[in-house]
Amino acid sequence: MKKASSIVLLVVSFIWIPLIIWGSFMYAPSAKGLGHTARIIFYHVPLAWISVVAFFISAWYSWKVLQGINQESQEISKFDTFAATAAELGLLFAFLATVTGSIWAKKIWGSYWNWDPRETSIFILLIIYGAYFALRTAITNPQDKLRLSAVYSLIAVVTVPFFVFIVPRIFASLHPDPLINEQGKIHMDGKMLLVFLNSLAAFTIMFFYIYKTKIKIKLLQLTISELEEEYE
Amino acid sequence: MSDIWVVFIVVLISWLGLAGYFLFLHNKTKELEKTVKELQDSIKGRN
Repeated sequence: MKKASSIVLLVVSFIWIPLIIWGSFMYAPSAKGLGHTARIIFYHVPLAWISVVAFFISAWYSWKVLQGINQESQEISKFDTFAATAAELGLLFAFLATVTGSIWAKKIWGSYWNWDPRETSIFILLIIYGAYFALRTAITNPQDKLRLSAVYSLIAVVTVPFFVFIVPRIFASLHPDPLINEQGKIHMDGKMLLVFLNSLAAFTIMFFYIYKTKIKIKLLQLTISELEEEYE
Repeated sequence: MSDIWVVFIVVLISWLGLAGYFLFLHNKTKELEKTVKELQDSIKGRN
């Protein structure tokens, strides 16, 4: 099993991702109107997508924390680690999506930041999830930390679909239309779509690998501190 | 050099960074697993 995941990682890192990079610049054509800048879609959209997935995973484990808290389950601190790690990665990927979007905005709109509805909504989302970590750092009592950060994560996730999918559709924006348009169809060149879907899949696998490994590292660190206590 | 080449090089460097990060995570996991095993052995030996 370990060997299989290492092979998947090697294939994704050293074959699939380089092929996507090559495809995004050499294979996919530039888009009408946006020119070469449209190639940002192969990186910017998967980053934003992963951040949404990560925030939902965080909420799911936060829910599990709240479910187990009354039964004093031993699993809850594990679930809390799962939730916090997902939120950490979600925040990181949301930040990277903001940076890539900002670079694109400079080229197309002439400025890195324009307070466009898309930019404003992701900015608020970054603050919301930044506050999640501020809250976790501020609470010293472990039980309170578990409970309050789980409740906060569940409230925060409600804002994710609102800021990512609803706000940009309510207010007039210069941001290109969503991938799936109002008619529920995808208007994209076949070659672009092929590279885009590959990018989306590779980024998703990459996210789950990082997520899994980061959790493993945190749990191992926890085991080490417990064993050190036992040894002393 | 045109902008598109600059972006291409930036993306390639980012990919190298990402591959390096994967390697770091992999090595860190191995290192921690080794420490856990050593501690478990020490505790067993003492008992």
